Formats: sequence, structure tokens, C-alpha cells
Amino acid sequence: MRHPTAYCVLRASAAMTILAVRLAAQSVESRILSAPDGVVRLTYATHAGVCGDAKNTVAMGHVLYIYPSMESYGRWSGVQCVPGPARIELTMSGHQLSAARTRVGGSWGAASSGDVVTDLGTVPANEAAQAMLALAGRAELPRTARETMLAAAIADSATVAPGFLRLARDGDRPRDTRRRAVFWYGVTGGPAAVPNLAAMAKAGDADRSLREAAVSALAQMPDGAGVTTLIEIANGADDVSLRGKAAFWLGQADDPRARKALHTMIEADATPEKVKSEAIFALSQGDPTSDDVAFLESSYKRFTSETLKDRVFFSLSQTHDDKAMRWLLSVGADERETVKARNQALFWAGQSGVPLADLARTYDATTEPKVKDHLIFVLSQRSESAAVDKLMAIARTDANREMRKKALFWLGQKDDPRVTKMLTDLISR
Amino acid sequence: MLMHPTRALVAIALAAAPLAAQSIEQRVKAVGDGSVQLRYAAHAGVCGDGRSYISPGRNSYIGEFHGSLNGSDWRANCAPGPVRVVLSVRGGEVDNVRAYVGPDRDQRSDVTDLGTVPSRAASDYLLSLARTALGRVGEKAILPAILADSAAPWPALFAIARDSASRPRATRDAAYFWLGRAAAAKVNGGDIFTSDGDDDDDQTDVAGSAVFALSQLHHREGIEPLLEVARSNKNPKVRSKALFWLGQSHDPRALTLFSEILDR
Repeated sequence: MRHPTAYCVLRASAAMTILAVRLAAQSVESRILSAPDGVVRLTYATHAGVCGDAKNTVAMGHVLYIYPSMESYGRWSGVQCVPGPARIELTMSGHQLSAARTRVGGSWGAASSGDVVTDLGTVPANEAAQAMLALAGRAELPRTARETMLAAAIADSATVAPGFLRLARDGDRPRDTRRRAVFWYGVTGGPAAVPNLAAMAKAGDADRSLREAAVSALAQMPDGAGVTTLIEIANGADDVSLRGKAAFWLGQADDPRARKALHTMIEADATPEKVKSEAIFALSQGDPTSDDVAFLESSYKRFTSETLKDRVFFSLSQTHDDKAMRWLLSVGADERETVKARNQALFWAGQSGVPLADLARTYDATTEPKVKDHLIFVLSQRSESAAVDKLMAIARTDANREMRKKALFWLGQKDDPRVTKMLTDLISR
Repeated sequence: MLMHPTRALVAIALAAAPLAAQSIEQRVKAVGDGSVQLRYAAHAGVCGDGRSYISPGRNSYIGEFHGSLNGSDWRANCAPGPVRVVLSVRGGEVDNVRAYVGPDRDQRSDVTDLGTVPSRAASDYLLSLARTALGRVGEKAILPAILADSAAPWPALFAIARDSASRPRATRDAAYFWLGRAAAAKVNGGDIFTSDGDDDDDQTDVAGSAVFALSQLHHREGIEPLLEVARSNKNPKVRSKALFWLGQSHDPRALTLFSEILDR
């Protein structure tokens, strides 16, 4: 006869095993959907290149996301970001997803008082990713879909690109969800995604924002896989605005082919002004080379369009390149240039932080009153104390009464204790 | 039986007496609901187009004018005349004030016309509105009160400017503004309705810009220096400019100075 106690233990043990087998057989998705109202938590491995701050920041390669609404594509720095597992928190109500948060790193804190928490523990990453994609497809709120798509994209060794493509093509999904899916398809799809993205970008009957999303996604593809297609779109798409977007994204691609294509576009007479304008700006982004700077300066001389000239000034000011700054000052000082061009060049030089002494010297050397007047404004927009010094000097001693008055006007807007004394001294003279 | 001529005259005189004895306020209240119009003599130099703008004096106008300000259009169309005030009344309370000078372009049959009233009485009535009325009525009543010939609005304006408890900000702002102009005019020997011309010498012109700059400084840092300039600068034009900008400062220290100047 079997020992009764041993029998009972054996039966209990068997029951636990069966329960565990059943749980394991349930997909992550069904476990989420069968959870009671409250919060569902799950944890899984992320792939290389993913990091976070355990709170609001999640980064993956060049993509930086800061909850709830900041996204950046390109180089980023100054952000605390360390590799770690994905921690996903889903708010369920009536077995429907109502909110989601994606974090990387850290650990779970105490749940809010009254929250029912179902912790699924650590789950297989690929399975989690498929569950997140499925939830994104059901999410009514774009923000919820955005969080679950991010959760899918960062999962380790997961095959997510087909799921993103499905979402991108699903006309029943909100536009924002589809746009995000297009974007993640580009990031996760590899070279095989290029033809699909190219087709989306070129589909003249498609929603414009989806076409633009496809153009953006081509620029986010690893190893410059989308650059050739982007160049094609920038050069020949049926829509000038889309060509401009493609030119813009070429500037973000950090690829020599892209920069060369931008030069060609800017030089070509046939390129529409809107596209040229975007190409000029694009060339100033990322890490423009000294060749890019010299190219933009020489392009300026060829342009007759005021719009393009202004664009060159602005774009060069964005480079913060010393040579570009000197060039802007030289245009500002050049009496052969129009007053408008001189003023624009000086404005952007001032905005981009050209040394104050250079602006002051340009003021002293300039005889054109309209340029001097504008330079007073440019000086007034600088926060350094040397700017106040120069404005006070103009107010006290400039030979032109109007310049003195203009300087006084802007001094009145400054928050500098020296100004009060200077004004009272001047009044009591 | 025919009435004796002398007795008839006495009867008419007795009937008229209660009307004349009624204040403007009582006559406006008696209207209940509707529009009430009154006219009174304007300060010398005041003109308007009867519709959209009033020029209180040389180089200044208030309201809307469509055309070239540098040309002579607005001056050519600016006709002197009594001030015409139209009050909108609801339940015996004034809920809007509109003022015109110049030709009466909008003669309406649905307006109760109080006719021409003494300018001082009109000014006092409008100032009492400014001291008590709700909403924008008080602010709108101040200009026509000041435009009245022989008006003595300053005590009432001081009371309004100091009444931060009950007067709306815009009404107090208007009081500050006109008190500043009055003090500036007294110092400069001009009148409150005439703006300074563009004929300042170099130093006065630049000092005027410096005075403006003081008025713009952050944290009211410019108020004390402006008060000092207004009190003791040798150039009356510069003092006048300081007083003008103090009138825009809404600072109680400015009111004290205005009072000193206007009470002299």
C-alpha cells in the first residue's frame, strides 16, 4: 500500500506541473488579454544598441525617445542611457489595452495603491514583441500604439519588420499609428525593406503623411541602405514637396553619397527652388565638411533668388563653422551687396554666435545707416555684457542721432544694472 | 374760458422747472432701456469726423482713421463742434459710452436726445460714471469727460487711479494716462491735448529716448530715476517726457508726483 502522505504530495506536485505547462503554453498575448483589470507588467531582453534611463528615455541606435512626446533621429548626447531589459507596463480594462509605457532598465517600484498588478515576469523577447505588435494593431489611441511599437522594436532577436509592414498597410489603423509603423519598418527591416518603402514613398495616391513617413524611414535605415532610393525621390518624385523632404532627410543620412547628391541638386538649374532650398539646409546639418561650407558660399554667388540667398545665410549660420561665420560678416560688410542681403547675413551671423568684437568692428566700419541700424538690433539680441557695452557706446557717442536713439531703445529692453546709470547720466548732461 | 396770458406763462415755467432741476444722471436713468444722447461744448481745439475719430489737439487723434496721416485728409475732415455722447442704457444703467465730435452723421429717431447740457455738468456726470460703472463703461467715459470745456477732472481722476479695489485696471490706466499728460503739460507750458512736435534739438531728442528707455527697464528700476528727472531736470521738455511715461507706469509714486505738480 502506498503511503497516504506521499500520495498526496505526488498529486499536488502533478497539479502544479500541469498548471505550469498550461501557463507556458499560453502566449504572452493571451496572458495579457486574460489579465484582470489593472496593470500588467512584463520584462524581456533588448537587443544590442538599446538603452534607457529606467524612466522616460529609451534609445535605439540613432533613435532617441523621451516620454511622452520627444523624439529625435540622428546623433544625440548628454543623455543618461544604459543597456538593460525592457520593462513594459500595460493598463488593461475589460481585457482591452488602454495605456502602455515602455521603459528600459531599472526595476519595478510599488504599484499605485488600489492597482491590481499582474506580473508576467521575464518572458521570451520574440514572443513579447509579437504581443506588442498585436496590441499596437488593436490600440485605439495613437499614443498607446506608439509605446507598444517601441516595445516591439527594442526586443532582442525578434522578427518584427513583417508586423510593422502589416500595420503600415492597414488602412483601418489611425494615420499616426501607420506612420510610426512605417518608421519602425525602416529601422528594423534591413535592405529588404527598401523596395516596399520606395513603393510607399512613390505611391502618388497614398496619404501624403505616409509618403513622407516612408521617405523619413529610408533615411533611418542602417548602413545607408535607403540612400540611393532617397536620392531618386529627391531628384524625380512627382511631388516637389516630397522631393524637398527627401533632400532634407539626405542631410540626416550621414553618407557621402547623400552629400554629393545634395551638391548636384543645388547646382542643377532644373531643380525647383523649394527642393534647392531644402537641399541647402540639409547640407548644413549633421557634420558639414569644409567643402560643403565652401560649396554653399560659392553657390550664393550664383544665386539670383533672394530666398535661396537667405537660405544660404541661415544654413551657414547653423554650421557654427568659423570660416562660415567670417564669410557671413564679409557679406554684411560688402558695400556691393544689397542692404537686404547685408542685413540678413549680419542677422544670422549674430544669431549663430559670431564674436561680439567682430560685430562691433563691422558696425564701426559701416557707413550705410540702414545696415548700422540693423546691426544695433543684432547687437541687442545678444546676451553678453559686451553687447550692452557697445550699445551704450553707440548711445553716448554715435554721430548719428537716430543711431543713438535706436541704441537707447534696445538698452531699455536689457536687464543690466549699468544701463540705469548710463541713462540717467545721459539725461542729465 | 381763456387763460390769462400771465397765468399761462407761469404754468409753463412751473412745468419746465422740474426738468431743468433733474440731473443728467436722473434723466438718463429715467430712460430705462434705450439710447440717450447729450451734447456739450468741447475744449478749444478739439475736432473730429463725427464718426470714427476725435482729435483732442494738434498732432494727436484718438480712434480710427483710414487714409494718410501724413497728408492733410484727416485734418481736413476734422470739424470742431460740441462733444456728442451717446449712452446705451439697460434697466436704467449705462452699459456703453460712445463719444463723437464733428458732424452728426448718425441721426437716429430711437435716441432720447437730452439736447445741449452744461459742459461742466456733463463732465462731472461722465466722471461719476467712471468712478462707479462696471466693465469698460468707466474707461470709455473718461475721454469725453476730459474733452468738455471748463472741465476740472483731476480730483476725480486721482480718486479713480487710486481705487484699485473697485475700479477695473483699464479705467485706472486711462486715469493715470491723462493725469500724466496733465502734469507733463503743466511742466512744459502746453496743454494736455497737444503732443510734442518733432522739433526737439539733438540733446532733447536723445534724452527723450533715454527717458523712454528708463520707462522700459525691468523690475521698475527706471521709476525712481524717472521721478528724479521729472522733478529736477533742467529741460522742461525732458521733464515733460518723464511725466508722460510715468503716466504709463501705473506706479503710485507717479501719482504722488502728479498731485504735487497739479496742485501747485
